[in-house]
Amino acid sequence: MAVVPVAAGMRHRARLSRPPPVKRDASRYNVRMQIILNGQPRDCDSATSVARLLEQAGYAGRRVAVELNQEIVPRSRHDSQLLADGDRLEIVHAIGGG
Amino acid sequence: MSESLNRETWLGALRGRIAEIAPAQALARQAQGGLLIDVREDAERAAGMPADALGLSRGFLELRIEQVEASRDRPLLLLCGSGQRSLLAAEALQRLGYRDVSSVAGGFERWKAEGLPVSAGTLDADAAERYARQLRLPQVGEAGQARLAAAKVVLLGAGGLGAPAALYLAAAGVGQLTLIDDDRVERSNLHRQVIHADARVGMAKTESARIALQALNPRIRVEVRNERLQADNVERLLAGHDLLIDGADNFPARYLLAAASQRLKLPMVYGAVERFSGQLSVFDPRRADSPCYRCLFPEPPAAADAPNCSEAGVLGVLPGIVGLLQATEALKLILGLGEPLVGRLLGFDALGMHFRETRLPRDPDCPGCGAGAVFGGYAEVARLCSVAG
Repeated sequence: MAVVPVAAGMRHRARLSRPPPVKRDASRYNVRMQIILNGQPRDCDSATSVARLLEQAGYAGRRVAVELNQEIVPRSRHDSQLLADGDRLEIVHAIGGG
Repeated sequence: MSESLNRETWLGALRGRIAEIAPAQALARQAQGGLLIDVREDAERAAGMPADALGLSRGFLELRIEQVEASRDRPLLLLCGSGQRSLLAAEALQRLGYRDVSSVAGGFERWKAEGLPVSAGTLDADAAERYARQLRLPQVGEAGQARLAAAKVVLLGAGGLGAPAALYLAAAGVGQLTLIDDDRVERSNLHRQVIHADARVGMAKTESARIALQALNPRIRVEVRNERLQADNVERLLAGHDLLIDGADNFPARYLLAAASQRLKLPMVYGAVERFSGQLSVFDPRRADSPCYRCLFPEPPAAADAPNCSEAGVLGVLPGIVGLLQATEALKLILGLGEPLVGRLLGFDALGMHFRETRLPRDPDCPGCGAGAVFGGYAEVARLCSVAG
């Protein structure tokens, strides 16, 4: 998880092969952050995308929908949508019964 | 009485006791709160009647007037074809204690000749009574009832979701319900599909549902289509309707319905249930801001990830709740009332008893409705689902 795609303004950080040692003062871009996934707190890298989180949480290829702060993130935005500290996410499953 | 009455002496006597008013006067008194009652027969009124009049044929007048208007003080204005039957009707109502009864001279013939307002869609006594509680709602009224009567709604699936939705749409007077289902009633359906009955186990679900719907409301039309929704029949089955209710129990049918909703520009009221939870939304392709089903789920899940009710189980009330929410959205769309559930996904969790609302924006790159979406035919949609499994 050394190099993660980040927003344009942070690109210089992405070139680092490894994250800098976690120091309170110099670590603004690559700190770990906490989000809430399905009601449970979870640590992840800053600048984690929705798609990356799905992979990490075991939802890769599961074709679920993702709700971020009470709004569905379109599938086409899963790669580009980055998470921020404190974000609340819910996995929404397609259900089939009728 | 020494001599038997003849027609002229009777009518003459009535004219002495009952106020006759001109059509224009009746219109004015109607505007002041009087109840204009057209006492002609149903078939006569079908060709038109005074606007906002109540249709109550003379044969049922005494039997039903108290249910329609219990107050003996409200002015009643009676109208027939030429002004004679309305005199006889007025006399009967006087005997029942109605104090302010008048007869419209010249009847509907003169009403029309004087160019007074006429409504084509007429409510007969049966309809006036049947729908009385919703007619009272100013948001529905006779105009709304006429919209319901003109509406044609597809129910995809006559099962868990379709059954409760169909019952209430039929009861509300939706003019045509088209039931599409190729299943037969099984005993294991009955804990949730309450439109069916133990005695009808083994019958086609569409036919079983039709029996229950027509027993509830014989006025509506129920069309049955004993078919499974497929690429080669989907447009034929859905075209010509106004609204689609998604009660599908499988993803191929749901994706076909979603595609046809886009192609035919028909709003789709989506619902799905599993175990103790449900989902609901409205996808309305007539609105530029509305997402479609594939903005939420671009492709169907693998079969193992989305079991149906027979695999996962479901508490019987769940489809009842979600199906009635679908019926609610359908009625709102037909009547043009309130805020439809467009751009919002409603989740229901029975165990926590929570409703949860999530904003559901359009996906600009949606494979179903995005600007770059290419429709490759319904067969391709069906293929998408078969690959997914």
